[in-house]
Amino acid sequence: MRTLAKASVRRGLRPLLVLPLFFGIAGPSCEYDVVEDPGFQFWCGDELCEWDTVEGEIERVPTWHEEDAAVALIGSPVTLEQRFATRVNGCVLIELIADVDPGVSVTIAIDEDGVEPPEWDADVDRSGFQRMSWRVEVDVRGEPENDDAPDPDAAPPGTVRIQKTTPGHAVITQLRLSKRCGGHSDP
Amino acid sequence: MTWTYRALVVAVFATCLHSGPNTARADFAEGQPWGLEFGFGWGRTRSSDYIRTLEDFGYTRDSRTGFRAVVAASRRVCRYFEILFQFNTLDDQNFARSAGIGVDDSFKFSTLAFGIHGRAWFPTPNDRFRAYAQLGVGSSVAITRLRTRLSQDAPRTEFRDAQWSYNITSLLGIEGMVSKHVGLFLNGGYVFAPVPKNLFGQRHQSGGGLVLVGISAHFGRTR
Repeated sequence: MRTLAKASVRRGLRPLLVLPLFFGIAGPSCEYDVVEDPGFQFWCGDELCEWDTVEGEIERVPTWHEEDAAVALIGSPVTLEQRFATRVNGCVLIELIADVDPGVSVTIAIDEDGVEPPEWDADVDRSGFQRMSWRVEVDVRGEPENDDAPDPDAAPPGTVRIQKTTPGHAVITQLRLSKRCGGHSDP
Repeated sequence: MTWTYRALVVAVFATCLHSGPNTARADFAEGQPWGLEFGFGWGRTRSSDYIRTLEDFGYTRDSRTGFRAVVAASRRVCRYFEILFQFNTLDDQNFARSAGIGVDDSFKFSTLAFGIHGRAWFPTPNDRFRAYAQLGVGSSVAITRLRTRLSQDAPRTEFRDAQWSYNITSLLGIEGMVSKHVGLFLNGGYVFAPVPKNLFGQRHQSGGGLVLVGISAHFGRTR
């Protein structure tokens, strides 16, 4: 009888055993972007609203749809840059969709502290709007060198940069940097 | 298009002029020159370069429906042949893409087809079951809707577009008459409707195979 009672209690508690698994694995999660306008959709006249054209000329070009915009890097050199929209520390997924002719030199780089050389960079060698992706450890927290507490209102120091150094066809339609948080761990 | 036209001519000849005088019944579909049909069913399309390009641009499919509907009006032009004006719903897919901050971008297309069809009936010993072959040509239209944001603060802007193309439809069916004027039908076949199209010139085939069931009504008075 006692064994039977134990067994039924065990059966009753069985569903509870999966709860930690549920919250641990499939628990609340989120994903946030650390740069704005990753799709180069926001144009203020001839310039991108969220990206700084440090040097060179850019142009809005349509892609698969008239209203799905991309940025064409005209001539060379061309440098586009954006400061990180948020502080981030950890693994960041970088997803790029580009159409760059072979032989045209385009790189993307992450500069964590504003001091050359950048902490990470990669060549973009995809034609026909192919996707490239990387997982990169990024530390853009704005921690001061001394013991002062970081100013929470100050912009994070990191930047992401697209640089074209040779002439030729180069169109970038997406440069997304995203960070996962919550229930999921970084891969 | 030429083969479609030839097939249609052959169908007319086969049914109107040479429709087996041995099996033809003088009272086949007597008093039923007009018809109406409503049906629904299931269809399937394949992936395409158009869809793969959407995926290359960061879109993932939210949903697609295999539901198909058909509405048709028919007029018998000779004993075993009728002309239909037919309307079909075809592929319908929804896609979404993370826009970074805020609500996702979305893209949707829904394709419709309509056209003139010729239907050749096969003589049967009695009128309870009727088999037919059907061939049609006409227009197809894909209604596309892109929702994206054009500035950081603005809500998403919607861009609608209607893209036109042609369609070729072939169907085989059977109809069982539950009364003299009302029947239930089952048909299946293939629709070729190369629309929508993107700026790279890639087209999605919105037709594909389909199976439909429905109800039909035949009425009117012959002279």
